Amino acid sequence: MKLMYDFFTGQLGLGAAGANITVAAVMAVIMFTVMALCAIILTWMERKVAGFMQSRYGPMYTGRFHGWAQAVADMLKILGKEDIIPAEADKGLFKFAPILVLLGSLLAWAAIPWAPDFVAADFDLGLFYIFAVSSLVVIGILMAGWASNNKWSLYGAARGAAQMISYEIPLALAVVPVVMRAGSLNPQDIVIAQQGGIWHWNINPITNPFLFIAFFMYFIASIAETNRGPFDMPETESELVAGYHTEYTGMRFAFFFLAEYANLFLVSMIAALVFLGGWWAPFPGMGWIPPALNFIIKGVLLVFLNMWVRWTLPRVRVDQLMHLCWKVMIPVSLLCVVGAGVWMMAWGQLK
Amino acid sequence: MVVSLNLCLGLAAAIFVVGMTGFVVRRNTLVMLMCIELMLSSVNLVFAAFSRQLGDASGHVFVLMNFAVAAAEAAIGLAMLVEIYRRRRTVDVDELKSLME
Amino acid sequence: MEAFLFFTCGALMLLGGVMMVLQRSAVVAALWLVFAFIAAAGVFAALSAPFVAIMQVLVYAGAIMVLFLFVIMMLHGPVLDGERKRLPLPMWPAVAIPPLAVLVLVGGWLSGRKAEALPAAPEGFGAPAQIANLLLGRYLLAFELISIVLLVALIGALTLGLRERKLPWS
Repeated sequence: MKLMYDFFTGQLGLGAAGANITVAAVMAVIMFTVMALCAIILTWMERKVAGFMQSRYGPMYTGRFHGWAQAVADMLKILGKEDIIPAEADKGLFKFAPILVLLGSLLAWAAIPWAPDFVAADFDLGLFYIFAVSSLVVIGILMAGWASNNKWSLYGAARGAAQMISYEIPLALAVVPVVMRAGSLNPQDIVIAQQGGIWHWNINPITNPFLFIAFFMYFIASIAETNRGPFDMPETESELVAGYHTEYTGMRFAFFFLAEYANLFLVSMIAALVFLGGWWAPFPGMGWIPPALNFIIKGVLLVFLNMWVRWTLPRVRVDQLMHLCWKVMIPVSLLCVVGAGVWMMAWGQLK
Repeated sequence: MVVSLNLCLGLAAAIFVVGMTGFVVRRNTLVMLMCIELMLSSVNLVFAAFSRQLGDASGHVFVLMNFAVAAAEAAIGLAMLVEIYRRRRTVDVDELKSLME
Repeated sequence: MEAFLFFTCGALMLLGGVMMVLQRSAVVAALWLVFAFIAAAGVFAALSAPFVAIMQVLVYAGAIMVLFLFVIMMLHGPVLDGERKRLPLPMWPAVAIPPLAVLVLVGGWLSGRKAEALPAAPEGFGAPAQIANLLLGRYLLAFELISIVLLVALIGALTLGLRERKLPWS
């Protein structure tokens, strides 16, 4: 960020305010491009992983090599579709809902540090901010479900909202021990605190077993938070057609689609930077790998894990979902917070 | 154009008055509850403004307390509302006046 | 920067509040209130209260308003149709109060124009560390009491919400 700022002030002779605005604009364009690219790549990956899990090939023809262009073709097809707004829908809300859903995840992307000092919005409350703005997605989902004026959409939206606000609690609680350990809510500080190889990462069960448990709590909660299998209650195709985006077509549907994969990658990236050492390479002597690449590889591996779970486990029921959240995950996460604190005090790791 | 304490208080008071108007004028209990939330929120602005003026973060603590109160109020209020709706099939305050008659 | 944030977000918050009162549909009113609360977070940020600003988004926009929207959607039709017949029944407060709001705002504006700006915030003001020290130090008793309030609210909402009275003690 500093580098880019210096470039704009020094080389191009912009003022401080102008340089700040330019840096923000450049970062916004970069983030949006990366987000769109990641949605396209992850769609292809999802299909290939699903095929692999089910002993088939997945897309093989489009673009010759392993159907790599399938996702691009899908996107072009979606964008070419007719934009239908149901006659009985609340038109303003119907149009605004997909934008709000996408906005929630895009805002959260701003605070992700990709490499040392490469973060769009660098401020001390970064991690907290990410959780706050991603809660806007819930409002967007409720709006979509309501505005569609369709009972499946409304059921999907109600389920989605209930699930997301419930699982936000273990999700946030799982991160608290890490914040205690790093002594900061700034994502960059949290990553810097894990410098020096895989055994310094927060997931290491020997330094603190409670952080190890917290990672799994975070992972399970993040699956529910992104509304993916086995917790994909909001869009169960056998019960609710497609949930809150049943009535959406064309570009607006593409927004929901983009937001789903953006969210998936977002929660994986948070897990990577909070528990898996962010941009640090796993072993010393691997410093030649660019930090951003390290980070993205970790994120993609977690996404793969997420897809593995999705295509392996059967879907749970709504009551089982709530049972898991309120009676298992929240107590365990709370125990993790207390246990991690006691452990750190006992071994003098507390800052 | 500077941000002064008076201006903060003026903004907070104006928002409070908007909430109060809504509470008096609207007949839908749900919207009335929302107006109460707006009024509580305007009080938070006053806390934050004085906190900044005095350079003491205690005001922020009170804002956090106020959030908890607002959450408790919303939870109880909405639960009562749902119960009223189940019994009377309405949430219009003009039709909920059995205590008056 | 600070003044710009304050004036923009303050105006937007006021707009959100007014639109919330004017909307007949409860859902749209709730969404305008969400808008007002997000603008309020901007005002908090301008008053150098970053922690409170983010808390505002998390608690109000993320939890309380979702609860409202949830209930509105659960009650559905009758809630929306109720007010379509007649809107402002007691006309006099509707007529009397908005001028009062304008008066208050103009009064604050006029007196605020000449008054000096808020003092600059010291380093680390409103940061989580400072708030945590206050919350778990000087205001520990209040903190514990508020947690009891939340617990009571939780139990109360649960009791009210149970459809059949299948409580263990009844």
